[in-house]
Amino acid sequence: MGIRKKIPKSQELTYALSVKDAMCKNVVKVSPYLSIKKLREILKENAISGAPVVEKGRVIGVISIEDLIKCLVKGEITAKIKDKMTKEITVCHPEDPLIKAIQIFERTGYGRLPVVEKDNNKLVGILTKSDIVMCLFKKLRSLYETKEEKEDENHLPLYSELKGDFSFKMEKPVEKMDFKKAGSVSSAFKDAMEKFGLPKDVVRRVSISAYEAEMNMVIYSEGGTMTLQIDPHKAKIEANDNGPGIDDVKKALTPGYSTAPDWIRELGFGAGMGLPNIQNNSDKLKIRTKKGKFTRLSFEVNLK
Amino acid sequence: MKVKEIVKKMKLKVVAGKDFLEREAKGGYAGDLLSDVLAGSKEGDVWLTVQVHPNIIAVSAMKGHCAILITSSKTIEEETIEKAKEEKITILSTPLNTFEAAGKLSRLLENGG
Repeated sequence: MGIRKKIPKSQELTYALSVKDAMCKNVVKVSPYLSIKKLREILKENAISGAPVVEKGRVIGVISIEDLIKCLVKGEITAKIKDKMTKEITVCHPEDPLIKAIQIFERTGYGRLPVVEKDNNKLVGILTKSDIVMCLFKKLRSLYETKEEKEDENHLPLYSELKGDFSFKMEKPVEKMDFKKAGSVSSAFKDAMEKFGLPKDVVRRVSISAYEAEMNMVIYSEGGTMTLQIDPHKAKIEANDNGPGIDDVKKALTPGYSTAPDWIRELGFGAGMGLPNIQNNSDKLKIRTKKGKFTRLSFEVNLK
Repeated sequence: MKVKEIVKKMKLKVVAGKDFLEREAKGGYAGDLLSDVLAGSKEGDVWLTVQVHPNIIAVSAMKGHCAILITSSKTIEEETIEKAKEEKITILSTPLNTFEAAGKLSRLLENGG
């Protein structure tokens, strides 16, 4: 679980972008009543290889340079476009995903697709293969540029891209009795793990444990620090407080055992399930405590 | 069943997160002890509780509940509502107590009404 299937960004974009992002809006269109001779001039002037044939704003056909060549060969240079154009046309709509247009190009071998509005068939643009290439290129470039900017401020690589000896560390202070901020450290850890792309199940187990550890620190201890560490094999949390230590670790690990005062219980804490919850959610748990001095709690969740 | 259908059928008040009522309710969990909820509830559950302080949002976000249902019309702290908005959590409210609300919700999820 958690391994991402690699799809090239360009391919992903063909689903995310739509025809209107890529199409050319200034369409050179021709009237059906023009002659082939006139068509030749228009194509040459605009350096294009074909054009949609439009009557009263509606597309009624497409004429291309190939049709022109055929006419030239047969000496039909005075013929009207409407008699030589391709009438069975394939169109696409502005809101179609680019992938749909690409599939049409692949299937038909056409060089261009008129883009018409869905309801009224009105011509709004034209799409060629090179329009698609240009659009993808521009989008990829802008994505690349924003990615570079982001990496400067927030350089969290994806877990799946981590090298063998990589290790990430994040340390946060936890204040005693600060119920307003309580939970913010485990939330920050959760965000970091999500940005790393750790498996969802791991993120949940670690953040639940981190939350319990944080609440323990807020309620029972003199405050301290918590550290999240991610390496290619595990996510690890260390919670180190400045006392007063746990009297009886064995009891503290017993579900339901709690030393919490009533007002804490009324808030829904102190159920005597904090440490048992951590134990249930982690693959490895260590507690070291010294009466009056400190408690050092560390737990890990394996990634593989 | 979608959260919005539950809201309609149980006549619940939407206190926060009215934009996320399309979420699917897969089940429910009732509990006021946060550790117990962390241990026992599941992703997609509606969480019924009388706790109203901001920490319930952290718990709910961590478990991925589809909504929190505050029972007995407990007055919800302003900060809890603010935090719910930040975390995109839906808070619902009912005058029914936890027992009555859980009974109704349970029947609703089983039989669709």
